[in-house]
Amino acid sequence: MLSRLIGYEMKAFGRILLPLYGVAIILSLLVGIELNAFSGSKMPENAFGMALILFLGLLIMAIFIVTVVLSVGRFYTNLLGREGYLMFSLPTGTGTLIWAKVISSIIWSFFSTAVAFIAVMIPVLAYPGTVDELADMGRNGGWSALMEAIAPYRSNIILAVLLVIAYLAYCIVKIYAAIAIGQLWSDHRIIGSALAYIAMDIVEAILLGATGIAVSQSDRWNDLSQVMAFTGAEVVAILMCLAGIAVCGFITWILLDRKLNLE
Amino acid sequence: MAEIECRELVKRYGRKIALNGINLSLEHQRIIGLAGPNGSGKTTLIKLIQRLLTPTSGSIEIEGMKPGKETKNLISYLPDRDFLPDWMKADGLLNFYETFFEDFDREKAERLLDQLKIDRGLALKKMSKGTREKVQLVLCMSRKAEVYLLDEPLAGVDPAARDYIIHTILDNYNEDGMVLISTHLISDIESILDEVVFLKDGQIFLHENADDLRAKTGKSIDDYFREVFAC
Repeated sequence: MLSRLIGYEMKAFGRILLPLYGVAIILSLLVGIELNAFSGSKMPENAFGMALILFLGLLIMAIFIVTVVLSVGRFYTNLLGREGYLMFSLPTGTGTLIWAKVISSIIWSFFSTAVAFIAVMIPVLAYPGTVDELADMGRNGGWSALMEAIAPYRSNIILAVLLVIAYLAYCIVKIYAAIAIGQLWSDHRIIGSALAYIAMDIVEAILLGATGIAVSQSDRWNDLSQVMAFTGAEVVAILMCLAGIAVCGFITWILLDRKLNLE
Repeated sequence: MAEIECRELVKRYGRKIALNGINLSLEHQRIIGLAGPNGSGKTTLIKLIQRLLTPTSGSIEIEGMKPGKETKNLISYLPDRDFLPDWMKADGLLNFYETFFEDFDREKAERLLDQLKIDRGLALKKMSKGTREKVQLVLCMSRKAEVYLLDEPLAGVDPAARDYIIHTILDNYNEDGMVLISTHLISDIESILDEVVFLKDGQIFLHENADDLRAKTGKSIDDYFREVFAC
C-alpha cells in the first residue's frame, strides 16, 4: 500500500514540478549557448545573457520554494482538507499515509536539487575552455589526484549525505506534527499550526541548549572533543535527527489516528 | 451479528453536543434512511462510522470490529461534498479506485460513466458540479461493499438527477450488504427504504421498519417527518 500511495504522490508532485524542471533545463541550455556564442562580449552588449542568467537563478529558487510548498501543502490539503475524506477512507493505516508524504517529499527534494545542479552545470560546461581544462586535468592525472585527496573523507561524505536526508526528513515531519496539532482547533487551524511550530522550535532550542551546556561542562569534555572527531559529530547529528523524526512522527501519527477532526 | 452497532455514542464539538448517547443496531440486506433536520447529527454519525471523526465517548462496531483499516475495506463512502482531487481525470480516478479498493468493479464504473456520456479524459475541475457528483456516485457504487454510507447524495441536485442517483444506488448496491442514506428529502427515497432512523437534536427519535411506521402512523414517512420536525 505504501508504494501505491507513493506512486500517487509522485504523480501529484510531478504534474507541477516536471514542467518547472523542463523550463529550467531549457533555460540553462539557452544560457549555455549564449555564453558560448558571446563569451567575448561585455556587459552592455551581453545584457540578454545576464537577463537569462538572472531568470535561471530565479527559476532555481522557485523550484526549491515550490518543492517545499508542495510538501507542506499536500499534507494539509490531501489529508486534512476535503481530499482527506478520500485518503482516510482508504484501507490503510494512518502511519502509511504519513510515510508516503514524507518519502515522496524527500524524493522530490532530491530531484529538485539534482535539476538545480544540472541547470547550473550546463552553462559552466558550455563556457569556452571549461571542457578542455577538464580534459587536460584528466590527462595530467588531476582526477586521480583529486580522488586520492578525498579518499580519506569518503565515510564523511557518505555520512554527510545521510545527514542531509535525515535533517530534511526531520524538518518535514516537524512541520507535519505542527499541522496535526493545528487540526485539533475547530477554527483558525493554520494559526494553530504556526503557533504549534513556534512552540516546537522553542522546545527544540531549549533541549539542544541544555544538551550543549551539559556536554561542555562535563569533566569528560576534553576526551569527548577528541573522540568526537568530524565523523562522530555527523553520527551524533544523524541520531539526533532520527530522535526528532521519532518524536514528531509519533505526535503526527497519534493525533491523526486518535484525534482526527475532519469537520 | 449486526452490521453496524453504536453504543452510548457521544460526540462533542467543544461545548456543542452533536450526538448524545446514540444506541443503534443496523442489519444486513437493508436500505436505511437516516433522516433529520440540518444539525441533527446525521453527518457526524456517518463520519464516526467511517472514522473521520473520533467519538468523545461510547463505541462503534462494524461487523464486530472497531472502525479502522479493516472496516474501511468493507465500507464505500460518499461524503456530502466534493472529495476527489480535482486535477485528476475520470480515467485516473478509475485507476486510483482500482489500485486501492480490491472490491472495485472497473468495468461497471466504465459502463456507468459511458451511459452518462462522461468524457473519461476530462479533468474533474473541468466538469460541471452535477457531473462531478455523478462521477463520485459512480465510483462509490462500483464497489461491491458490505456497507454503503451515502451522506446527502440528493442534496442540491435537480429532480432528474435525483432519479438517476436513486436508480444508480438501487441497481448497483451489493444486496447482501447494507445502504445507509442520510437525507432530509424523504419523499424522493421513501419508496426504496426498508428502515428509517430519525435523528433529533443528536439523539435517536425513532428507529422503525418503514412499512410498520406507515401502518402505525397512517401517514407516509415524508408526512410523518414533516409533522415531527415542523418548525
